[in-house]
Amino acid sequence: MPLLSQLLQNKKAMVGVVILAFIILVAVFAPFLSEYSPTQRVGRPHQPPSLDHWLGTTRLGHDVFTRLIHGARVSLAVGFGAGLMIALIGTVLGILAGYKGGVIDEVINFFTNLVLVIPNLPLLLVIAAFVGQASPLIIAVILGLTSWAWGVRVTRSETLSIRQRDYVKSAEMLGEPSWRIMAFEIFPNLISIVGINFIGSVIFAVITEATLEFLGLGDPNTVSWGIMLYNAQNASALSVGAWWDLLSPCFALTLLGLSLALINFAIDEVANPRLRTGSMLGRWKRMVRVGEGKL
Amino acid sequence: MAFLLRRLVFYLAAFIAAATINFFLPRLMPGDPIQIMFSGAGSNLSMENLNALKLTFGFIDAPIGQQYLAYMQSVFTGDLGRSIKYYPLPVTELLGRALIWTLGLVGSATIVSFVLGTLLGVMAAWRRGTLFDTVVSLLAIFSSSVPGVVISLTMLFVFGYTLGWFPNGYAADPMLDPEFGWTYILSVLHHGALPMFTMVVLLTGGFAVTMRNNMINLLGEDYIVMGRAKGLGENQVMLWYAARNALLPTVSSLAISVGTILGGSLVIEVVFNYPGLGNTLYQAILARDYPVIQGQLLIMTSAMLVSNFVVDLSYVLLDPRLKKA
Amino acid sequence: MLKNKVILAASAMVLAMAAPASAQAVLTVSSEQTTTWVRNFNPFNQTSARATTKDFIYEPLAIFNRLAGAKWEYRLAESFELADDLKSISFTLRDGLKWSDGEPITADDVVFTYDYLKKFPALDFNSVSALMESVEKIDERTVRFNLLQPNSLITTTIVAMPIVPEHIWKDVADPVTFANETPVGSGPLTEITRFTPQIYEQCRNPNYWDAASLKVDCMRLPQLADNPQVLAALAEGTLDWATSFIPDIDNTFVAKDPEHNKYWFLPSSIVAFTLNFEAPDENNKKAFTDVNFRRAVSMLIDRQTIIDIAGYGYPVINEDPAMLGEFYKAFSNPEVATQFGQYGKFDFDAAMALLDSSGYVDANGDGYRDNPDGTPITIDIEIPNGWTDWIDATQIAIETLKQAGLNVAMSTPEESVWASDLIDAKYSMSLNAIASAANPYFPYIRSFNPDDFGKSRFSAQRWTDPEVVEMLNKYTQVKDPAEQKTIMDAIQLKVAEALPVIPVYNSPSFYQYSTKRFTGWASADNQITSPVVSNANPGRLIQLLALEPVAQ
Repeated sequence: MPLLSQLLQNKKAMVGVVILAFIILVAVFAPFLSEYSPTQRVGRPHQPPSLDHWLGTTRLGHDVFTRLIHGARVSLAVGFGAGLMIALIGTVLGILAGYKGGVIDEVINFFTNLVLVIPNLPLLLVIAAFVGQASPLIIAVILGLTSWAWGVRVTRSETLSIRQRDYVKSAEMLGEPSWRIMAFEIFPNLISIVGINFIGSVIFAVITEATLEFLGLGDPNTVSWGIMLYNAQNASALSVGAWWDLLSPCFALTLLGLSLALINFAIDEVANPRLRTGSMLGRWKRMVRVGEGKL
Repeated sequence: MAFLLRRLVFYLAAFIAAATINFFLPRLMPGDPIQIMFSGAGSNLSMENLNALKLTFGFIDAPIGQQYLAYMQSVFTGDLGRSIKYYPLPVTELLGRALIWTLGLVGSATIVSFVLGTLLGVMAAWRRGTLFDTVVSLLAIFSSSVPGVVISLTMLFVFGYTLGWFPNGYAADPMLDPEFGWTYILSVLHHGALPMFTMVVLLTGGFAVTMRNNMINLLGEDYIVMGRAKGLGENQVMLWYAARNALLPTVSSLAISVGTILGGSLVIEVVFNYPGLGNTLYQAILARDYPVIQGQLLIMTSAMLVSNFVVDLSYVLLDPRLKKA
Repeated sequence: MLKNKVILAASAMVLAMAAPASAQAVLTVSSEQTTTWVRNFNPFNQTSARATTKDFIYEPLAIFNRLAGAKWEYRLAESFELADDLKSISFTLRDGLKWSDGEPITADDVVFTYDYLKKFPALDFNSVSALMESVEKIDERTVRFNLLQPNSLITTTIVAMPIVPEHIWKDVADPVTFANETPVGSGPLTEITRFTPQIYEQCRNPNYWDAASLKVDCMRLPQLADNPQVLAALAEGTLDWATSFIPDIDNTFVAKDPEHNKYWFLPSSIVAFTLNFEAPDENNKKAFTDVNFRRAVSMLIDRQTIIDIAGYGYPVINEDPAMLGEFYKAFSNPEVATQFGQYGKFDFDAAMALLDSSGYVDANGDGYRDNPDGTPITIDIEIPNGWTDWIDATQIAIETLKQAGLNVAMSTPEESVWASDLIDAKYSMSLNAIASAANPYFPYIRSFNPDDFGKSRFSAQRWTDPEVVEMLNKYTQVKDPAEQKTIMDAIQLKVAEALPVIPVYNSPSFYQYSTKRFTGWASADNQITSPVVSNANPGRLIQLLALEPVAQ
């Protein structure tokens, strides 16, 4: 595919992919990379980085490095899981609304706009508080169920413009059933948008999960970067000078976010000529959405 | 016109729907605020006293339908009730105090980052392919992919704790009286600098990228070529032809993000302990202060609706072509 | 030019000389943490009034000074007398007492206050009305409380209730929602001279009866939202008196100004693990109701590590199977330690041995111990979400419990859910805090009285013993201290034998102070009173009166 090969030649994409692959590998092989358990007290509280503890220890005496690499699993799982859900729901609803039009479009539009109008993070806060101690799985589900709205908008507007194309018209005249048209004529032309939507959703999910857990709405039994931030904050890590406790998960989150954003930016660049024919709104709205997620 | 009318009807429906969700959501949360208040305090209240107190706080055991109607009525008359945690302070007053700080912090940060981001975007688009462009793009990527909490904590660590240039939280020195004197204003600025700077870092990237991409899309247009052909200076073409046209969707994006911005900057406020709307909501959730939570969600939803309407208005006025999307 | 300079210099000197004469002794205090000050000085509003309302605006009749000789210090009352039959108590007010607006304080105000409590039950936060048969005025300065039951401990309950001026409150339509913004009080600092959401000042009562002892003119209370903010203020040196949890206090506070920055942590409420005697899971119930199981679990709790790590070393260890610990040292029965002391100490091997010998072995090969009859034991420890020191303590405990082969996990529901689960006994295991009081009678009766089951979370373990309850009742009905001691000793022995809760430590009550601007502070070497400035401690009034400004 020309898209893929162009992507592989893009420097930004390569850097992003390499970093992402590195993080995934570390997460997968976590138990082998450290002899400690992430939930056992293995050292004295708040020890600075040393040969025994590469990133020092937490307030409770856990090894920060071990928690970091095990935490990668949770952050990646929630990120990709919720991101997938968000992108899936958004894409399906967007194509449906854009292609079918009429009543279906109106209904989907109404609910999309409704969800869009309620501010995201406050709503998530309230829901997470309602649930009590939200395990990463629950957080992923909540995110998936509430954050698909932007994806619908973007996909829908793209679908609207593609719908008028020759090949779609001819498929209709040939009598192809709608679902086949949507799946095999329209969807393949949306790949880059869907890709950007997906990765953007992953970024959003990673950020929001960390934020919710930092605010104390997660499950303190989990080992994830967000919970590491929460523990460090509660242990007043900055006040007592234990910067490694707090900055390690910060750094990890930054790295993951950066790698994903680089990939996203590259896809956007590579796909640029194609997108230029679509409506301008799709692009700037997507950009705004990526920015909206972090607030 | 028909378009606007339809939108208006939608907004009304959305408002009612939001208010309804608003009503039910806190009630679905486990635990009630009176319990929380007393589980913290060491008093030994008998059940009779607890019930008497519940009555005074308005937890009428009326059927839910009645409570709902009463709530809807209060919403449309602007009566948001009294906070439970800060009894007997009215919710509107509590939120009013916080609103000032949020508007100040967030408003100024938004303006600064909008101006900065747009300028950077314009220059990056104009100097497309150069180092400047790459740097700006990378910075924008950075600011849009890193969680707000991470940036805030890092800022706090570097500038607050390590370098000690800025205080570690708060809106102003607690020892000072709020007044329009120089000392107080300086203290406010000093305390607000770090949170504002953090917000600017977070927001600029988005505006820069938006502007840049819009500009790039426009640069191939005929009137740009025409402008150059006419012999106009580079800056003139850049600013008066390209930028002005690229500005429209960017302004629209600003209008939409205002809703979000009013709704939160929550994390920044929590990390820096800034007494704005976001922090108030967070504290209210922790304390199950229903009236405050409801009041706040309502205000934020209304802000979103209003800014969405403004965007719709600007579409109709400026580009009827885009009605379809 | 020179003339101007001279004039300037002269006026500056004059101003400088004039300044000290009008300078007030202002004490900067942090007594409660909140995000905004709300002007509410209603002494009956336990949860929404300012923390400086009790004791400083409304002075108690008397204060029990647990530290300086465990005696009563008379404040508004000059004496009180408990009748021999323990069915009535009379208080005599001092002569010449005045409210801050000049009106005299008389027995009418006391009678009015108690009638008020009957009329508005929501104000009766101490449930004192329920104990009264009647309150009668004997003369202008004397009031007699007639009780429904004989009660030797009634004094503590009565003095906890503030006395309010009849001439102000009789016109208040709804005292529960009344904010009392400009209070008329009887205490040392009653005048609110400044009030903003960020700071307020409470100044000298012009008609205070003990003005001669009061050398602090004003208290200034800046609004501080949480522990890190209090720490910041303490570290800067702007606070004189605080009560806040400070991590690593020697480095973060004392080190900033070792000459003036000091602290003293006093043991306070008991924190103990509770196993639910009425656990919803039948199999768990079998284990929890077996004293051997409880003893084994108790010996698996590494209290010192919990104190050092989760508590930063601040709490005081409590290894007393009778639940009392250091705090009630004066009442403790040495027999308890002799007979049952080992069950309160951390001893991994002894615990394993006890579990094995009592039949708690792994019956089904899943790696976890089961009941002697083979049914599984699955323990879920409920800790309120956000209470990080408890969460940390539990995580440390879980490590050892798991090592010993018990199937334990932790869940962190919302605070109010946790509280209701404890009240309704719908949990399996949890941590619980029992407020400390002047006499061990109070924690005992609050925890083990079957009438309280389902009403408060102190009885969450749902254990009782009819003999213990009978003895507790008798305790309040005898007047002779020696007889009281015999009864209390016997009660302790029974409780220790049953080990209904597993004490871990006594929470510290926090007290930080600076000697930069004021001296006279209580400390380990100067135990004049309990100096904790939170509104749970009336002794703070005595501390206030002991302070003297340092010449600047």
